[in-house]
Amino acid sequence: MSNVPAVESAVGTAGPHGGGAEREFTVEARSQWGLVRRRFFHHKLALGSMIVLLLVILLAFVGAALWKYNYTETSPRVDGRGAPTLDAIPFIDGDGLAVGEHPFGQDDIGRDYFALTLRGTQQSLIIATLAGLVGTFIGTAIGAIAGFYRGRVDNILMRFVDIGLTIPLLLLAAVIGRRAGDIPGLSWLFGENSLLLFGKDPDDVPVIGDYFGPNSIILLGLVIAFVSWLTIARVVRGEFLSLREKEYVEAARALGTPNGRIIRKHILPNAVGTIIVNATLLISAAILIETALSYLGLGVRGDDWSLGKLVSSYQNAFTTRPWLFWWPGLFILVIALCINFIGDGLRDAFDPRQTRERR
Amino acid sequence: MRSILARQGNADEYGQVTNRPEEVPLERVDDAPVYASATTADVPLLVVDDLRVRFPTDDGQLQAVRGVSWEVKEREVLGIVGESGCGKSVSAMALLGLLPPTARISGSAKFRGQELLGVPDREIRSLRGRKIAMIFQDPMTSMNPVYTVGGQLAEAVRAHFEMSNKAAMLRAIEMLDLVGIPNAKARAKSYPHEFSGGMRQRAMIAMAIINNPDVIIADEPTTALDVTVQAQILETLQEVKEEVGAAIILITHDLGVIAGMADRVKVMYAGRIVESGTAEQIFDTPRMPYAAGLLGSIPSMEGASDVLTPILGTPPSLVNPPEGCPFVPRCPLAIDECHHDEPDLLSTDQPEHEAACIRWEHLATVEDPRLLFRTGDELVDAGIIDPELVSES
Amino acid sequence: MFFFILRRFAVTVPILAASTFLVFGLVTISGDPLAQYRTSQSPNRAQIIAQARDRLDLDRAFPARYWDWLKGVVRLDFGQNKGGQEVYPILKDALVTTFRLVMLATVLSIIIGLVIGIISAVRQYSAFDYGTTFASFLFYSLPVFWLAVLLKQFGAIELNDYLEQPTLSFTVAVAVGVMTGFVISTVTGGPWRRRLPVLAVTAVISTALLLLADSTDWILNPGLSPVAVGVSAAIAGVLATMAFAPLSKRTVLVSGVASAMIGFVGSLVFHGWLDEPSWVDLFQLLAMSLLVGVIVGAAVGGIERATAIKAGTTATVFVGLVVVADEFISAWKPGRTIATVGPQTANIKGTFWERMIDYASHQVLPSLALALIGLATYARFTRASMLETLNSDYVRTAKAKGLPATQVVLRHGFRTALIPVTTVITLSFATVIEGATITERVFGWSGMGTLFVKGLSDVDPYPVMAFLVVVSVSIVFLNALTDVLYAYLDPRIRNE
Repeated sequence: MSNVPAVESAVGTAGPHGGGAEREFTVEARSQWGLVRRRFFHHKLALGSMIVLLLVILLAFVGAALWKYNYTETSPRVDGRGAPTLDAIPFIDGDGLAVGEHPFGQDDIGRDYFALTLRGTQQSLIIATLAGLVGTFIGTAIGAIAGFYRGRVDNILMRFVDIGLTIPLLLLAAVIGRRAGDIPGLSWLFGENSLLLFGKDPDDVPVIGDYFGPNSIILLGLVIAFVSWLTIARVVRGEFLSLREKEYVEAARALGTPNGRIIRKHILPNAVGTIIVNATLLISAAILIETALSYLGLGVRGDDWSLGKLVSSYQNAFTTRPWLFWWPGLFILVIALCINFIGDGLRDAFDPRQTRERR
Repeated sequence: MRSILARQGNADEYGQVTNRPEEVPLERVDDAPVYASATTADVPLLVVDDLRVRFPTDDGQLQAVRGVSWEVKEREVLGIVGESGCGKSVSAMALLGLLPPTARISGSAKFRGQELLGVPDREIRSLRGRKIAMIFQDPMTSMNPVYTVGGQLAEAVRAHFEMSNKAAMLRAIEMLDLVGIPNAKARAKSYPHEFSGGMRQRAMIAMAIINNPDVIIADEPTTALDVTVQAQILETLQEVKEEVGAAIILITHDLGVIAGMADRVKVMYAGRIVESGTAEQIFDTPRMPYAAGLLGSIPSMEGASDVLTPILGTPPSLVNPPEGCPFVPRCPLAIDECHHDEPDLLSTDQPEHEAACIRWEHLATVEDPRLLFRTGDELVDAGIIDPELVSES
Repeated sequence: MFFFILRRFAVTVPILAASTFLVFGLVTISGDPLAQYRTSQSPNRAQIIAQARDRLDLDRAFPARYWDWLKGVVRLDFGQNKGGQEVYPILKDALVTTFRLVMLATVLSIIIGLVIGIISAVRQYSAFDYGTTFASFLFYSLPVFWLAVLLKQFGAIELNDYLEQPTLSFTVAVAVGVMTGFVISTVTGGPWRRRLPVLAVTAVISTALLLLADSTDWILNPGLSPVAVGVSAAIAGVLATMAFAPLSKRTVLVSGVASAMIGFVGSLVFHGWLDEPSWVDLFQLLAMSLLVGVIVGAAVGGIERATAIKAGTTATVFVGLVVVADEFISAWKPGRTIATVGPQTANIKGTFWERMIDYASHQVLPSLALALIGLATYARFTRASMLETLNSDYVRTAKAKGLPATQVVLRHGFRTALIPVTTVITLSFATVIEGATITERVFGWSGMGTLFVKGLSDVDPYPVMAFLVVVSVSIVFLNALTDVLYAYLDPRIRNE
């Protein structure tokens, strides 16, 4: 990727005998970001995934607020089992698309599963996005420093990364999950007596209680971020190692540009593509990691739910009440799939070697 | 050059072309294959007629080659000159079916009467590397990094002849030696990354001639190399041509390269041939302003060129080629009529010299055509004309 | 080379030391190991606690405990778990179990992933390409555990129900036949005019085979007749040839088919060996097959001797696999086929093949779950790598030399594309271990993952440390292996 706005056509200047300028501008010039955006929108699957993902996010946050049921309240089960009332094949019975009382069914104690699923989606999305953003940020910073300065700095940092890679995620999750309250730095945010809870019971302080205190999902997100930044650091380091050898960096250095400026203005913009792509992959991986953690009991705790926790809790109900297993799983699948497609679309969009010839 | 081929016989397993009686080489006499039909000097080997190549792109149809025709006779060197992007490489690759499947090719290209375009891969395969060989531009990437150089050359032989690996390697070493690679036996076992750029290109030349082709297409063979190495490569190419008795199609943007080697020259611009003639004709008496401009923009030892005169402007986009002559925006001789019709190749005052320009006669009267592109000021500075005469011309 | 390896190891030792120390510390602070005892109602609670305290050496600071542990590890003493059992024997069993699971999964995902990747790249933008790309994304976005549960349900419970009363409707047979035809015709490629007959023939043959199987109730009593084995042998011979050289090279073709047929005849002759074979017997049979391939190849190969030998050995090994598969499926008895719990049935008796089937039926689903996800990664990576090499200059040169298309794609495109794919092996190892942990839990295997998770929840440091040591050492070993593989594949880095 070049630093200069890429121009796709041959921009002609008037010849020595005038005229002809209008004959040369047969293809418009575009800036680099314009090119990326245009290539991305060509990738129909990525575009579609973005739309689907936005719909899911909307549904999870706005839809849940508008829905008549809350995820904690219980109601008597519809015809004893709590099967979904969503008419899956619309118009065939002549009823049209019927949503019914409990479109996703009810769980074993009568909670509306639609609301539960949406709640789970919210929390999973928050955890994954937090993990992705924090992980990318830390990873990029460390990778950039290691890749740019090389030498001892690089060595030391990469040894840390190597050590970090050997520490199992589950262990970290277990440690931090169980002992967050005791770790001095974390206790005032995530401990039993979290300052932000003002001394009250987390269930009484709903919004803040969700995010801080002993059942904090923010903590979970941070734990996942802590493990994910390692891979991004490696990737970014690789990018910086190769980008710093580019001629324009050499030129900038020859001009006396300070290092910070070189990183900011020359290397970072060209690494942005890889970073963004890896960030999206990280977010989708985070969702799956959260599911795995929940399965092993190290995920979201307390009364709150995430998609992973839902799927794990109801795995044994599969034979009797399959909808309890299907819905959250499908949501996980759709979200992860969409993010992966978007990441793929972004990768294609940023890669200048892709020639999209129309077939 | 003693050849193993002569000893083992040409057990070519593919295609009918090589089995035609006039093609069977007789036994080697004074180091050159003698073909049964001895009067081949004027028979055109490769005839291209109205070749057109289009690529679909996001912005529309890119017309890379817009009706190109030429022919090459045996042992002749045909030079094809033009700027980057004028379609010279594309037209060469179209001949051997090396363009991506999205390319739309029309026209005809016949090698000894056999049509090359639009035929299934299996038929072309017997010609590739055997009768028509190609040398590409960038030697650094043209060879597979994981196999030895000798191995890749041997592969080229065994693709067309029944031969044991050992015999093929001997032939490979023979060829490496021929192109001037020192210590060829040891070098054959080396990997491409252990060769320098010039040596790699020599190895590519060796790969091209290893099966005694009739035509060698050299696509910008010197562009990626240093100037000193360029001269060596061209020399090697010249020697090789003598040894093998092949015709060469030399594609380049560098006039200097053409000057030394080519018998006849075709100048390409914007996907068409705009001038065609012998090397002397084009160099001394160009009849198309573009060719004149090209000549004027290279430094030379004599003539009024203390200032290098580029041709201002850039080639037109080939996605929507403009009406009329594509060179108009940059042409100092353009008149109204030039904007309307794109001229075909017209005969000029010299035999076998054609130019796609309706003003070739005017150009013929200009004394030093290389000065054509100078602006008025430069001509005044050079003391060639009086300042009062400077006007829009 | 030796010093290169030595240097790499020298660097990893301090890293391993640091990480084990860190993990030991983390496990120690992750909770109270005596928690479960504190809540016990038993009268001699204080004694139990004191005992446990003593056994776990809790009175000493954890660095001292770590040092003791480290010294023990060098002597292969991994300490004891909370219950007083020696960790080392538990570790060995767990290792074997997990190794079985992971090995099969990895081999499957690599082989199938590579093949799919190559075909997708060569037939870019085809329906096959889009289909497999989508499927790869799909499997890559599935939570392992969700997939495992689904497999348990559909791959086991429902499949077993089906196998008790297998029926095959005509429409299904035709549909499967057409799909097979579609896939094969995409692989052979070419313009639609050429593909349609290939599609039709393949579809008809597959449908006919399925209907034949159904009418003879083959599923209930499966096995391959000698005729079937003979035909497969011939096909194997041809395919093995095609993999290494164009079919027109007669000598290679003869070598391939001849070796295959000799292998087939040999299988009839040595049939007795396979009734109750030992592993040694099987190994000897394998050696003999290879030998046949070598001898035939050398004898018939002529100029193309090396290629002929390759084709011959591949053919005989393939025939051997078919024969073994025949034994396998002949030993199958109707019943609950696919098992979902544990690595094998306890105290199984029966013939060698029946035992093998038991192992296989227990292993197929968990390995499948792991393999599907790894497969997606390998397929995508190979495809991307192949696309890059297929657009390179040296592939263009190979084409211009007149090499046949298969050779260009495989010898030049694939061989070079393989280089970056080796990096995937190390990267995916961690993912595989994670996935294995979960899969073990879903299917009730007690392997390394179980060791780790149980140790974690019990706050039992020594099993956890044992797990860590094995995994870390494996990673180091795998890294070294990948480096060697990389150097073998890419001559450019050999001199570094």
